[in-house]
Amino acid sequence: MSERWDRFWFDGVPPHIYALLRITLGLVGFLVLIRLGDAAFWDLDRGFISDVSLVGIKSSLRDAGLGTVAGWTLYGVSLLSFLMMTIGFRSSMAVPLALISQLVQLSWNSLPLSGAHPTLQSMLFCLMWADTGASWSVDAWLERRRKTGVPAEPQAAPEPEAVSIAPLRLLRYQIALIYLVTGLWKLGNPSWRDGSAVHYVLNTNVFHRFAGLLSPNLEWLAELGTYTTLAWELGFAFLLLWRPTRWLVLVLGVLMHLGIFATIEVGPFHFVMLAAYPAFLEPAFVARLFSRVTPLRSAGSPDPVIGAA
Amino acid sequence: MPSDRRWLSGAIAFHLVAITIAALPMPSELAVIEPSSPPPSSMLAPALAPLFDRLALVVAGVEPVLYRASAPLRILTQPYINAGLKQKWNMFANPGHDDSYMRVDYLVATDGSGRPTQRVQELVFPAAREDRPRWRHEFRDKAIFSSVENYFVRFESEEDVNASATAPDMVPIARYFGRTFRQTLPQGQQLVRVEVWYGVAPIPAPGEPIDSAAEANRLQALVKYRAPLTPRPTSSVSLERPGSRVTEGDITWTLFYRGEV
Repeated sequence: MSERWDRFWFDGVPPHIYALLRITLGLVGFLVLIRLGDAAFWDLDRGFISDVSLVGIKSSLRDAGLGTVAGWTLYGVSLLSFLMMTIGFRSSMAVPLALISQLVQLSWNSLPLSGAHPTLQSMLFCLMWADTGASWSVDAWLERRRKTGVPAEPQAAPEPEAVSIAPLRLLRYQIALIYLVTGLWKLGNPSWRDGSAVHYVLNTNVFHRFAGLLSPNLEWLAELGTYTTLAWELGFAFLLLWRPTRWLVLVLGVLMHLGIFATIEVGPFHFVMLAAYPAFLEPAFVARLFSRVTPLRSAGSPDPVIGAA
Repeated sequence: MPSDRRWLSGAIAFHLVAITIAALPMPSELAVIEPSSPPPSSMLAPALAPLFDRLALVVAGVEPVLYRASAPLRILTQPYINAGLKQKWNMFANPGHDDSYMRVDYLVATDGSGRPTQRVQELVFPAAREDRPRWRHEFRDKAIFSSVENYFVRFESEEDVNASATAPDMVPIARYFGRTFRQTLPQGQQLVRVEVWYGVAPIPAPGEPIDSAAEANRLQALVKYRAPLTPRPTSSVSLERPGSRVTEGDITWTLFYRGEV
């Protein structure tokens, strides 16, 4: 039992998968911040900012005439941390810094933030424990240059050391938990059980992307969408455990997020979830993918999706 | 197992337990499960709704037991979760059955007396016209929607509900739009007061016919609240108290907040 636990959590995997997750999650975080770059959400003196948290600090900053400077400093640091994360510069510091900036942003002004924010926070927390800069990063490039004294050719790159699979397992668990819990919350609502939820979501002016998207004779599609979403969310964690259904549930997940993105407007949540999906790829497969770009001698499972969830 | 791995294993187990029990909703947050009544036009619901109802009943029975059983552990794990790992994943759990609007009314003194003589009304939510495709996410809309959600959460948790107890969630809205509007005022005019009105209009249930005339009337009513804004004498709209309701077409407006900026 102890041996199985040890293998499950501490097996070594090629680090490329963590690099891929650092890039996808970092890029999404960076782009979200670019879109959030409006004084309304940062500037204490002129902004649309919540008064429920950091009340003392905010009022002190306002009184000292630093409301604008403090807001834009926070924005700048957040943006910089996600940029560093994306390019893999000081990765071991960039990921925790991005997480801290997200936590401060939540207290600074939670109002414009959606479910994407805590989701990204949870992902960053898991990723923080991994060596994300060992490949596909400025860090790795600098390290090679430091060792050889000259800018290294990618072909000359030594194969990075294997790293622990534990952060990847934590990330997978977190994603599965998010889907399961969101499915259970939905199950408690009569609109999801009676098949009408997607009808309301598609028709409300709060979320719809196109007014009157479904004509009355296509209502069955909304009903199908309601039950498929509910069943998929409730089943995601369990269907991942069985190899034949694993592909199905992940492909359905991608289609589901893209479909929801195309029809309703809920901000960056789908991008954060999709940016985390590489966590379900087989680490050796990602390393092989890397070797196609920068040839590496990598042997691994031919299956691109996780061998053991 | 080496001792460092033992420590790491403990930390992993703690993390998994912590996030799992943090994801359990408080029993008081869960709705009472009643048999759902699918719309008559449903095709799948007659077969599937009873299955999901049964599953919901099972979950509703088990969840409070798990919540209570995990209470001692929650005391240990809560500080860890509060540090930034909150696990409330209830996105889209309660889809609204209404369209929502927010309007800000600016009461302006034009004669230097400090008494409002003009009312200017602006639709601030949704930011874009709803009859046109929405291509980009409006964080301002999300901020207003979050404020409204917070308002309702506070409203439900207050025992003695009154407008002053629920107003704090509306203050950032009044303050932000009031300040922005103030910058557009000509010299000599003064923004005296800001009112925040929340409007709802019903969405037809599945299978119900869409009332195109009502929809057109609603859009026409909303157009006048969009820029360029037209000042009107205050006597044309009486000064209401928070909680007052006014109907306009199929929209019911409720005054959520009234105050100085």
